[in-house]
Amino acid sequence: MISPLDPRHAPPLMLVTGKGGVGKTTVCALLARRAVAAGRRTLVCGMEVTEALGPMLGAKGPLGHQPQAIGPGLDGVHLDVERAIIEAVARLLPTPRLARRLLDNRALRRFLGTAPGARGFSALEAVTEHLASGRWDQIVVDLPATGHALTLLDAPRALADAVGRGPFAERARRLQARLSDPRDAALTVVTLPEEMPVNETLELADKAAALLHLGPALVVLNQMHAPPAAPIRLPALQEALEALADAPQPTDDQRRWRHQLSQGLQRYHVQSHQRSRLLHGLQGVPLLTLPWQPAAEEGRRLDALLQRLAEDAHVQQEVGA
Amino acid sequence: MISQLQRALTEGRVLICAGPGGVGKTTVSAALAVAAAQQGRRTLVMTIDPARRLADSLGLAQLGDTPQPVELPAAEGRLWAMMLDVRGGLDRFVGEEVADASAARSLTDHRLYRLLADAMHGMQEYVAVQRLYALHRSGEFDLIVVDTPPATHALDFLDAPTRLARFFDRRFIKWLLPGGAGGRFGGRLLKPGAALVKTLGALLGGPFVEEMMGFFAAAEPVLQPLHDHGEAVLKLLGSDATRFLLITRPEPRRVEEAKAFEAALAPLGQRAVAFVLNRAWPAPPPLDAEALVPEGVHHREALLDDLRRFRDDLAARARADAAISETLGAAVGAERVIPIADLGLDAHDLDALTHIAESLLAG
Repeated sequence: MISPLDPRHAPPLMLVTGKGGVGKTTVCALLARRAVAAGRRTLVCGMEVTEALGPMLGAKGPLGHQPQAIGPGLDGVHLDVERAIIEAVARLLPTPRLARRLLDNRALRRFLGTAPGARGFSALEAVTEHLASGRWDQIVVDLPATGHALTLLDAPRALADAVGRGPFAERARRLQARLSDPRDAALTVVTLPEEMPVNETLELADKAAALLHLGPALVVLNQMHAPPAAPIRLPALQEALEALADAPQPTDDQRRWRHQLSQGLQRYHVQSHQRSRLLHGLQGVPLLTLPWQPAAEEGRRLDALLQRLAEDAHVQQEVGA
Repeated sequence: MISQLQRALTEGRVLICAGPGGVGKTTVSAALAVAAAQQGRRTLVMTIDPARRLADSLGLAQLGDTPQPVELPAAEGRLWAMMLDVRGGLDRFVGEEVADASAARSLTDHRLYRLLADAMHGMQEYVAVQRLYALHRSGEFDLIVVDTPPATHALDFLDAPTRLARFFDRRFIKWLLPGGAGGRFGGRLLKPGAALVKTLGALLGGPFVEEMMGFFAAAEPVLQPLHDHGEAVLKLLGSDATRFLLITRPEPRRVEEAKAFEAALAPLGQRAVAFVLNRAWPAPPPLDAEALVPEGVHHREALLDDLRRFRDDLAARARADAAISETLGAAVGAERVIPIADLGLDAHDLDALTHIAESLLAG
């Protein structure tokens, strides 16, 4: 059974996006590590200018346009979108000679490199080509940030509609159908327990469902802070803070700690509130909550997150109301 | 000593706030604009997609893409704010550049123009720099603070001025358009014109290629302005009137992205006035847990353990952030690094923005 939450049964294409800075790439790495641990032959695929996935997963050198091994059961690729465009166009032309003749034209290459939809279409083509090769059971794609990702995922439809007929339009329609099939692809949205990222996630969920027929299959709520005390003791903490507020002559440290703790409490309440908004708004989409973890060293952070997920699996995974 | 950031507010005409996504660019831009206005400069903050409460605090709830005055209590300064609208901005550009209204309409009504405005990579950045340039030239503002769009990559912003001009490559269009000469540039490998159109037709279908040719013909009047404006905007971005502020978070990858952005400024002859490290956690004060939790509070012993653990977490985070701040300082000069505490919780009224600006400018 297909289940994006279960690394053994996730659809072969996990398309991961989220507002900038929410930890999209970290989540890609995490999903990839889980898939590998579940015994699936996994490919991670980046396409942004900075290539962060490879180093995060411990790749020896930078990832390139051709898939290369990162570790046992794990390969990585970093799409060069300009090259993907040329490859996609070449595949569509009847003969290599014709392709060469067309693509040797620099002005045309520049035009294709900036033409709306060409980048998205070609990147998605490259990903589905990798899938079709049969070398991998699981491909985790680190998409651009939310708005750009929508444009990218919508590119096949937009292109097909713009062009109307012909081999190109047909190819684009097939690609679109494939991406909106839940057996093949799952859109994963990463977000933070904060107002803007939650807004953007809910908007994206609506738009992706309406525009792409590809609603999010999984939402990852990243960087959830622990409250200053165990939730069960928060009333006791509140009691202590109130007593402190009434203290006749608090020391400087007492005042500063009162501020720290109130802030910690406030952050916890804000985050919990945003989390319930998300659960409420998502209507049935599984939510995976990840605890905040220091950024200092990426590899160690991944290990710690994986361990906490394994320990906490039941608490951390729930389904939107 | 007056900080470089303060100088940018006092002497600069344009302040571009750039950095990776999700680092607080919008809040920092708004805070600095409020500060500049309070210091007496006619200031405009151009923002992209502000959080609701921030928008409300600037009075932006219902804003389009023209500058709207913001009420500043108890200050003689003047502040305007605007939100960027890509479609509106592009239509405005065409309207300004194409004198003949019906020619302008035949472009803006074209189906492919609509597709282009919505789907073209980097269009938002293009319209942002375009609007920036026009508003700067209007002379109505002493300072324009720009909150850059949440880009695929921050560098898209610097690439923006020339991107459209590249799409509308004149040689390419020359081949496509009826009567285009082409041969001169066509090179050895492709007999341009008819052959190109035929190949494209095989790929895209004849009717679409014809439509595309019609679109490029309609776009002809803006080709020169596109090119000229691209050049002029680059000149503005590279001039002394423009200052760049990089905003990032104390995380190794985000810091690398900010440094990469600064490296990309070099060809323009620019460097960042400062690197703001947003959400850098200060070290917690010494904790005497027993003195914080009076006798008689429920679960006192367990709560004391909780608080010590919380202190340890805060301290670990503060140490990690301080280390990153120091490494960045060693690389770019400590005087250019401004760590500030979490803005996320309460940056939602003018007082809070003023307070944030104070901590930025004290750096």
